Amino acid sequence: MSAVAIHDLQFCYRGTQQPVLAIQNFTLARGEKLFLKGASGSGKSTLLQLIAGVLKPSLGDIEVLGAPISTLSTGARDQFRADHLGFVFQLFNLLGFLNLVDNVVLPCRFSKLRANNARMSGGTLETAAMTLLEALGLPKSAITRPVSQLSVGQQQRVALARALIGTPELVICDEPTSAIDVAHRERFMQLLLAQVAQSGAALLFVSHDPALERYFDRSVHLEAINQAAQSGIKS
Amino acid sequence: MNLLTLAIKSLRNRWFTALLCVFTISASTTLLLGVEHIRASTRASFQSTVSGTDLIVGARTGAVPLLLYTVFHVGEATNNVSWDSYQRYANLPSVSWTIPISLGDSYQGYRVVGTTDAMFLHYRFGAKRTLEFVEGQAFDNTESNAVVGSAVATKLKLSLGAKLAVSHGLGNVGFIKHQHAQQTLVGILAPTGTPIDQSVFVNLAAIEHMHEGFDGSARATAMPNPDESANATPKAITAFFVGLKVRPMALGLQRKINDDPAEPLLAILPTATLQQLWQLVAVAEQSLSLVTIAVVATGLLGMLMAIWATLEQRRREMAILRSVGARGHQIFSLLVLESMTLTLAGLALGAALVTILLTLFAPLLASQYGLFLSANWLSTRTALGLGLIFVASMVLALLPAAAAYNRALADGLSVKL
Repeated sequence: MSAVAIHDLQFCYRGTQQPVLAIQNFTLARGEKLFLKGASGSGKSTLLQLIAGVLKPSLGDIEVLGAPISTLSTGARDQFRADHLGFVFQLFNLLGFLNLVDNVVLPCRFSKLRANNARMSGGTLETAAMTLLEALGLPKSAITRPVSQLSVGQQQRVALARALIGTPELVICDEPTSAIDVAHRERFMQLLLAQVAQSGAALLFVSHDPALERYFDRSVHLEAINQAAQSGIKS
Repeated sequence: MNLLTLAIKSLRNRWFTALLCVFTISASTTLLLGVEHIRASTRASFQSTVSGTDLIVGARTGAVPLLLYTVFHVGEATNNVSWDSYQRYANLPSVSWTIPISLGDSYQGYRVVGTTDAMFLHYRFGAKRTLEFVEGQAFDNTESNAVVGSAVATKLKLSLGAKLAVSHGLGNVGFIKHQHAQQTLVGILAPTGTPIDQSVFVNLAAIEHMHEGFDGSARATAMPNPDESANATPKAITAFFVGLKVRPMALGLQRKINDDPAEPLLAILPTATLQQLWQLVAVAEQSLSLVTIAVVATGLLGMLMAIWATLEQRRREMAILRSVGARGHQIFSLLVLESMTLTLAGLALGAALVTILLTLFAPLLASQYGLFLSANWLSTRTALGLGLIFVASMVLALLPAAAAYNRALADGLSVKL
């Protein structure tokens, strides 16, 4: 059973006939670290939302961790996402009105499974969050600060802690480093890979920065597998 | 931390707009509760201007004019009730007590009511309260003594023992003063919030005595009679209040008095006529309520606008919540909970505010306007008002909640800001 398995996928936005995504085969093995390369507008975000179950494919099926995500009900897909997926976006990952620990713990509020996992590793949700934040190299002094006073790099680490809490089986990162300066990018990548390796999660890392390719088991060019892009059709 | 705490934390982050929202709702609430409480209190106090009296009897006129001049001291009687008729009814076995009153004189612009000590024994107002004295006591029926209402005593700075020269007629400055028959002030009444406060009570016989020799008033003229002293029997009175031994007999007696072949009289049931009179001001009452409802609606629309305005800025927040697994209906609930928190806070603050205002200003209203307000504003209608504000606000809250729900589903996880 793979982390992600896509067969004969096609996706058109509602009311349009032209597919923005057409992928015949794509798999991500469990525990695999995959670098998905693609220019902006190549359909990366669309693919991620399909895997996340936020969008439904027009044709074909997507299996995530063995579950037919595209045929589940809306509520079941939301629950599945809460239980098994962790996300890190490019920017603005955090809720400004919550403190760092509450931000990290957020997925556990929507998933009993992840709350239980987190408690098993850390006792309480708060200690689990603290442990993760410390493991990601966030200084203790920063943990008590409001989100707005953190640097972008620090915010991304908090977001990563949130994606990892309760050990979801699949972590999806959508250009998480593009707003971090080069000096801190290296460190972020190391921490990310170390933590993912420790939790055993599969990692789907999307970026257009080829310099990051070297950290991954495998690298896939989205343009190469997306037949909609190959035929010159743009969304 | 559940959705409610999330909603509260999110609101706290936008505390200034949230606070403004709460203030708007609390202002509407305060207004609604205050207006309704004052309206109900005014109505209740009006309805019980006179209580415990089964019938008011005067010369034949309209029911409302009779009530107006006997109880509210507004307008004048056009005719009198003969002493004989009064005695005839006063002595009926079914009659428990009567209070004769004779109007038409004034003291410094205040109405003078010629009456007997029955007034202080039997007259009731409010919740069957009797007239109470803050100083002195009632006069007896033999002397030229006077009792004044609280407002008269305060405004004219009267104290016991003062000599009051009653003027004939109702002008502010009477044309003819009964200088020869000054009344000695023997009692000052406690405030009642009724026209009693504005009245001067003198002995009925004394009034009759004063008018000996006068002719030309609406009053039946008593011929001067040197044998008669202050306890002279009057020839006529303006009206009388009747208390019955058995209340249900009021209707029968009323019919009997109205059909009196000897003299054209009118008997009214004060409660019924008070209600009739209140209908005259019901339009004002209703328009006041309408204005209040409009203000409340404005307050709620203000809240709707404030929440709606934040939706655009919060698309990122919704996308984050969706990414960690929040379902569409949870986004919806979050917005509803936010509105609910604001509304409940507004209602609570409004209720607290109205209680404080009532406590602070009740003494002033009682002393200045004779309006007695309790700090307890809770009634079926005010509770209903609070409930309606809550329900209306929850209904309005569905709009931003639905908008947030739709946007969250459409945006998915990909809001770029």
